[in-house]
Amino acid sequence: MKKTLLYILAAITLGTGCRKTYNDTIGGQTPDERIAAALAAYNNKLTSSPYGWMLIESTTGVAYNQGVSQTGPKIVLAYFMQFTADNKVNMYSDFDTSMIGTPKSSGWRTKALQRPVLIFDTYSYIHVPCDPDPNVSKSPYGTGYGWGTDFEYSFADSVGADKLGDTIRLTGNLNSASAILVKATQAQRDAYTSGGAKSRMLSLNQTNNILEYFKRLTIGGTTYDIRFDPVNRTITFTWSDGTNVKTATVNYYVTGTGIVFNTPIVNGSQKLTGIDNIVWDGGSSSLAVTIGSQQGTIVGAIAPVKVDLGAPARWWNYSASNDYLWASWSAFHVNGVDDAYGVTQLSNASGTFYFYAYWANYFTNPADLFGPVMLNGNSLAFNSYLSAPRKPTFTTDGRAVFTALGGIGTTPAGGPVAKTNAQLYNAAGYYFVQTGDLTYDMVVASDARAWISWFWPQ
Amino acid sequence: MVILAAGLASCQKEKFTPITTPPVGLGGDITAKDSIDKFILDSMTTPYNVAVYYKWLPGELDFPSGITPPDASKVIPMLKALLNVAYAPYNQQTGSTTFLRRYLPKTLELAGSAEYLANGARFLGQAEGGTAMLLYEVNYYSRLKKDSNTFKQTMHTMHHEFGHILHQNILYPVAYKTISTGYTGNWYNVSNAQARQMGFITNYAQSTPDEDFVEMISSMLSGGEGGPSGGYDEYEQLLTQCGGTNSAGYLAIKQKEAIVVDYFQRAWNIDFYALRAKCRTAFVNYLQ
Repeated sequence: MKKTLLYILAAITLGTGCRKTYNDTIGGQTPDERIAAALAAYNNKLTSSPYGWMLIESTTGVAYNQGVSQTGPKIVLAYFMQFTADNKVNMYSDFDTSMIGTPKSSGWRTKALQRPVLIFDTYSYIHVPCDPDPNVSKSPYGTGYGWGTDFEYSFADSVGADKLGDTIRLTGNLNSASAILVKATQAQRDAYTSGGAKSRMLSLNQTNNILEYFKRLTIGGTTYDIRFDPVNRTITFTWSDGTNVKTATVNYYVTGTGIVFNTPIVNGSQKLTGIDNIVWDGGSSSLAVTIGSQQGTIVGAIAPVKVDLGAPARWWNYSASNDYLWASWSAFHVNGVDDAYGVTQLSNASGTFYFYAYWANYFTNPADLFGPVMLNGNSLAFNSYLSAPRKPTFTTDGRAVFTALGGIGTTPAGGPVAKTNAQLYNAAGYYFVQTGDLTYDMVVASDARAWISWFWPQ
Repeated sequence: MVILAAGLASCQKEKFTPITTPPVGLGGDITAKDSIDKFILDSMTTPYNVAVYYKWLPGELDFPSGITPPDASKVIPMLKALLNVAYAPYNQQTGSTTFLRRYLPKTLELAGSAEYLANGARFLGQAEGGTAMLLYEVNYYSRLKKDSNTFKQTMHTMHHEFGHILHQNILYPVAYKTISTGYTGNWYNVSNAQARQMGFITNYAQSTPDEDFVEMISSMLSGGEGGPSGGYDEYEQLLTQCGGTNSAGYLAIKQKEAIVVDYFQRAWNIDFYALRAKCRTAFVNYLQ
C-alpha cells in the first residue's frame, strides 16, 4: 500500500514537474522588460512635447503628515512645464505672481514603484504648496502640512504608456491630489515666456481698484456680484434668478490665456468658464473683461445685485441663540484700506488686540456687546472699554441698523475703538452677505466702501 | 529512484536565458549627471566613501510624512559648509581623512524641509545604525552672519548625528547614564534654559541618555566666539543659564563634559578640547 502511494506521489511529482508550460512573459517580454519599456515610453512622452505641458493640480481638501490627516480648503493650481531628456524640468506656477513670471529649473524622473511614478525630485514651485513650513506654503492646514498637494505622482491612466494621447492623468502618492498633464500649444508656452501669463495674474489685482464691496459684472445682459478670495483661490458669483439669491463659489487658476474656473458657473443658458482678461479703465473707474468671446464690464455697486433679506437677522440670531460672539481679525476695511482704524495696533492694560467681537444679548438689560477682545498672557478678555448697541433694527429691504444704548468704561476719543464705534452706528445700516457656513461680510449701506468680515470662532 | 532521476533530468532540458539588462531601478535610478553629481563624486564619494542622495527617494524618508526634497541650488553650498566646518577640523585633529573615511556613515541623505512630528517637534537630522545620516532643512541653508543661528543649527545637527555614529561603534561609559535622572519623552515641553537648570545641555538631551551624550558633543563643537548680537550661543554661554557654578545643573553638565572628553581620548584618541578649538575657528571663519 505504502509503495503504491509512493509511486502515485512520484508520478504526480514528475507529471507536474515536467509540465513546465507556464511562462512569465507577456508578448515575449519579462516584467522587467515591460517596466523598462513603460518608463521609456513615459519619459519619451514627457520630453517629446515640443511646447511642453500644462499641469493642472486639484486637491481633495485633505493633507497628510505622519499618517495624520487634516482637512481644509480645496485649491487648484496651474503649472507650465517643459521636461528635457537630461532630467531637468523648467516650470512656471500660478502660486504667486513671481512664480508665474520667472521659470525655475529642477529635477524630474520616472520610477517603478507599485505603479510607474513621476517624481519632481528636487525643490521647485510645485513643492512650495507641499512645504510643511506654513511660512513657505502659506497653508491654513497647520504646521507640518501643506495644502494637500503632491510632487510624487503615480500615472493613473488605464491605458499603457505607449497608448497615451495628449492628456496624462496623475494621482499624488501622499495626498492623492489629482493632476492632469495636457500638451501645451505654442501660444500657451509663449504666454508664459513672454510674461503674458504674469500680466493676466496681475490683472486680478485690478479688481482692488474698485473700492466698493460689490463688484458688479455685466456680461451678455446678465449681472453678477463677484468676489475674489486670492488666499483660498476661489471666486464667488452672486446673482438673482428673479426671486432668489443664487451663489456659486468655484476654484480658479491662472494660465497664459486668463483666469480659468475649475468648474463653470452656470446660470440658465449662460455658462461662464473663466475670465480671459481684465483691463482697468481709470476714466470710467471700471474694468473691461473678456469672457469667452463676450465683452463685459465690472463696476462698483453700493448695494447687492439681490439683497439677502434674511441675512441680518440670521447673523444676529445665531449669536443670541448660541450665546457667543462673532469675531473679526481686523475690524473695518474702509476705502480700500484693511484695518482702517488701526484696531490691530491696540495695546493697553487689558492686553494686546486679538479680535473684534459682536455678541448679541450679552447684557441682560438687554443689550449687545461690540468691542475688542484682548490677549493677556494666555487668556482672552474683553477690552476695558466697549460699546453696548441695542438689538439692531432689521429693515424690510434687508439692512441691519445699529444704535448705541451705552457703553462700558471710557473710550478714548479719536482712538481706534471710538472710530470703529462711529462706523458701526452709521445711520444707513448694513447689508449682510453670507460668505460661508459661519462667515458673514457686513457692508455699510451708504456707499459700500466700508465692511467688516465676521467669523464664528468656535 | 531511477525513475525520479530520469524525471529530474527531463526537467533540466528547459533552456535558461540569462537576462542581459539588470532589473529596472536595481542599484538606484539612473538620471543625467550634472555639476552637482560631479561635486558629490569628487568631494564626498572619492575622499570619504560617502554617497549623497539629494534627489527625492520615495520611501527612503518617513512615509507618509509631508517632507520636501532640497532645492538643488542649496546642495553644493551645504556640502561645502559641512566639509569646511564639520569635517575639516576632524581631519586636522586626526592628521588625515582616514578617521572620517572609516566612520562617516556611508550614506548622507538630504531633505529640503524638516519632518514635523505630531507632537509639534520636528526632526532636523537622523542617524541610522551607523550607516546613514539624514540632514533636513537644507533649503534654509545660509552662511550669512545674520543667519548664524540657522547655520549653527545645521552644524549642531551634523555633529549630533556623527556623535550617534561614534557611540553606535563604541559605546560611551555606562556611568554617563546615571549622572542625570528624569529622562522623558515629553522633553519638548521644557525650554532649553529650563533643561540647563536640570542638568541637560538642551531640552532634547533630556529625551534619552544617547541623545544627552550627543547633544553634549554637538553643543560643544558647534558655535564659536563673538559674532552678532551676543555671540553664537556657544557652549560657555549656554552654561551661564544653569544657575551658577555651584548649581546642580552646572555640576551635572560639567560631569558629562568630563566623560565626553575622556571618551574621545580613550575610544578615538582625539584631544576633544583641541578638536573643539578647531571647530570653533572653522565656524567663525566660515560665516560671511
